[in-house]
Amino acid sequence: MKECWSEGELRAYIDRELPEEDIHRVAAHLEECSECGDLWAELAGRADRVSALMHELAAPEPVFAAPRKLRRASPTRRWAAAAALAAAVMLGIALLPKHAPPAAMAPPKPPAVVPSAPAPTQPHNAVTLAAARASKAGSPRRNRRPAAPDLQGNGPFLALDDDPIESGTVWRVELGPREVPAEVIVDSDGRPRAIRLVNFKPNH
Amino acid sequence: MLRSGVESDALNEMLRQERRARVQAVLAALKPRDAQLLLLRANGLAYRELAQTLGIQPASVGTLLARAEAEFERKFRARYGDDV
Repeated sequence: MKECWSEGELRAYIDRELPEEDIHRVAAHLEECSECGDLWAELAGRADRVSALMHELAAPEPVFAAPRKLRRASPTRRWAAAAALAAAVMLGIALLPKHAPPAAMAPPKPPAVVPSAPAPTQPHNAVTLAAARASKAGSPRRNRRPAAPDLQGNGPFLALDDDPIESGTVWRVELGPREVPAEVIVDSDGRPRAIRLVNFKPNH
Repeated sequence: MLRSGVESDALNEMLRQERRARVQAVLAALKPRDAQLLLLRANGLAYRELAQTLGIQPASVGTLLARAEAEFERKFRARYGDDV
């Protein structure tokens, strides 16, 4: 029988990301090991608190104003928007303008930036994160994977700033060498306002 | 009554914006990979998806996530006290 479980294994247990047989083994171990039990409680409590804070980033539901006139951006404006989108991708994924860009999330090349169809009258892609602050009752803990996002569909937008989003256009971009599809809301000034992953399909 | 409700909504929105600003500030102070890990996890990615997206070993995700959360909370407390 395994003596004790590592911090990483216990963290994965909290998210039920361990193999099923290990989940049972950890649960049994926690019944008899107060040291692991204390670590589990610490990790679970922190995960709850951080998760609740991260959900503060969920963008308010954007309202898409119907465009007065459908027009194609000028080449200058398109390149400015592409540059802004590159910045948005970096901000949206890392939120770290002071740091070096992460290798796994390189900004998209300008040709990959394709404007979406005209803004929908129905905000079908405006998704807000469900309140995922889970109750702390129950043990062993349930799967803590955030419930709202359906990654085979559309995930939630993450706001890139605190200003309310009154209207905007959704731009489809691809992130990094794996070309992870994402959407960025760009306002009428060409400023990226929110970002989300869409139709994410990991390689199996 | 209606006016009171509007004021309450405005106040709640102000408080929410303040909380968002705090979270963004703390994320910006983290190492890039830690911030990415927390953001992508909050976006609903499973451990395997996190590993593939960030180029890390799937078996390391739990450890890295626990450390990122600990660092996030430590920095948050250092800036804003125990209001986590």
